[in-house]
Amino acid sequence: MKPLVRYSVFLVFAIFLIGCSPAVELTKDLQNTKCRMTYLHDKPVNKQKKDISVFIDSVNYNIENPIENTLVEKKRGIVIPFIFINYWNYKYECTLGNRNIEEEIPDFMRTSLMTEAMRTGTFLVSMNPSEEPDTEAEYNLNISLNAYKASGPYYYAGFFYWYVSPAGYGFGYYHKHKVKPAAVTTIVSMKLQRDGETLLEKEYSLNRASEIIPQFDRNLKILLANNYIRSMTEAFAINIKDISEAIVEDLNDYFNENEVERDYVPESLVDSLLIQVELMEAKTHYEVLLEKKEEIDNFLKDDESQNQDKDPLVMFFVICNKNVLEYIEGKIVGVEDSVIEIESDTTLYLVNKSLIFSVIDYRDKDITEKIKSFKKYVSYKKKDEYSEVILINE
Amino acid sequence: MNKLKFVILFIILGILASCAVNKQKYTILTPAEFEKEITKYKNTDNQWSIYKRYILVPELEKINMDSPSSGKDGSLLAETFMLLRKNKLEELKILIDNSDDTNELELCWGLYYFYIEDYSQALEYLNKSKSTSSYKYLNLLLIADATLERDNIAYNKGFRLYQKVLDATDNEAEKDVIRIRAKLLRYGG
Repeated sequence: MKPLVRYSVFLVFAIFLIGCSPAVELTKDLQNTKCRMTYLHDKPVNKQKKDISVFIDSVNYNIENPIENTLVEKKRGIVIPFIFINYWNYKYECTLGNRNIEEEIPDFMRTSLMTEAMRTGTFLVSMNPSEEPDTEAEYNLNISLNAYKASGPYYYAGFFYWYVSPAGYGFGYYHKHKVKPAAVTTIVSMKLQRDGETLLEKEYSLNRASEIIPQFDRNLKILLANNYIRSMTEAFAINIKDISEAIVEDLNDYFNENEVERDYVPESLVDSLLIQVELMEAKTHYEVLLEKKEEIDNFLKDDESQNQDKDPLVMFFVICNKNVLEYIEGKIVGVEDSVIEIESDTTLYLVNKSLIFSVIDYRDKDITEKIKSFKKYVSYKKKDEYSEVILINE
Repeated sequence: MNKLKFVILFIILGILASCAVNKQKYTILTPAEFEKEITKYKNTDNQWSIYKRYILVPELEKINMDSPSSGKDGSLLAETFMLLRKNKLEELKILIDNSDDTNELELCWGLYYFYIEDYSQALEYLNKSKSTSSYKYLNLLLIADATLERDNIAYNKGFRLYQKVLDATDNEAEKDVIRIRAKLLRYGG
């Protein structure tokens, strides 16, 4: 290779390294990460609950101009292009967008509060899978997310050098991606009402620094971006957790002061409600099919069902369509609010829940109510993978 | 030619050594040993990842490890811990097979299969185990770890398993193990 060509290659490489501002790529890496808002509950379960019913009436997402896509804003960019040594140092501000979070934020808040109340509350929270107002509940609770922001710095720095000497030539470079904990702010307000009268009203504001990302694989740029989003999502989830804990504590204090005479409910009832809460939490994270699979797997282990040669996932649906009864034998592959998706061979039926007359499982057991109560399932197959899609909606 | 053989041998040894490092065995520790390990690795690159492989058993302190059957808690479980710590898995299998002690039998089989990395079989026993309150945490921890080793499950599902473990103990050190295991699960450590 001729010296001129050689030097040109070095120069192009150097320009490539220092000129490639990572903003576009970083934005893409950050936006492509989706995270779940999961955390571990710290406080022990309290099974001593008074017979006081609270219904979580509404969880409002009350944020003006929410950030949908994660933003990357350049805060500083220094490039020092000496002839033999080039140095660069960029700083970006990354702000978490809603699309990075897998759950719907209000759904997550409702679940978080309900779970916390069931675990540590001294009262009962109404469990209403249909989310219609519980008219029998004594107290109504309204929650509102008024502000949240998660943003933090991302650094990209490095240098490139090359030299020529009578003995020969050479070059080298070093570059590093680095993040610092993000600041996560969350403001939530709550209102406890009885018969329309407001009894307790409070605003909770929390600021938290996101976790320092564990050391392993820190140098892998994409993993760092993924983990940065995870740490911001986690910090936001923990803010929600802390606020849920504070709300439950305030409600406990309020009921301890104002509802002294109430009786305690049996622990067996609390146990069954806790199981429902666990299922509801799973639903929020779209794991119902997995839960169902586990349930069926466990069932199959029972001696009674060992000899069954039927597929336990196949159910018999009776559908009342335009006053005519129709039958479908198939598997549920998805549930989306009011529609149940049933797979039968290569056909996918999209059936309105209200038209389902009955569902019989492989043990000839009527499971209509259970099936109708499921709110959300994940569908593993895409609709275009079926030879036919039939809509039964009226 | 000899040089080439030497280089190839060196590479093979290197690969084997790296596999051994990556596939660390789970270790059963007393709280004192656990504290010592945490101090040893503090501020090192391994300070988090060590939590993934530690099984903390506070009850070990009540067992005489030199002669487990002579202690107050002289049970099959005590001998199981001792043999696992000495990595005598064959002996352990024979011991459990021939044991008349039905106390914590499922947990002992669960531990054995967990250690030979047959996680399905381990889960079979651990799910059947009706451990007493002092070993409930251990039983649930093994269920969570075995499930995560066997199945490639979403991390929030793993969190749910760890939540059950966390709820089964009041011991802060045991809780820390779970919190950091969950952190590692979240960040892919």
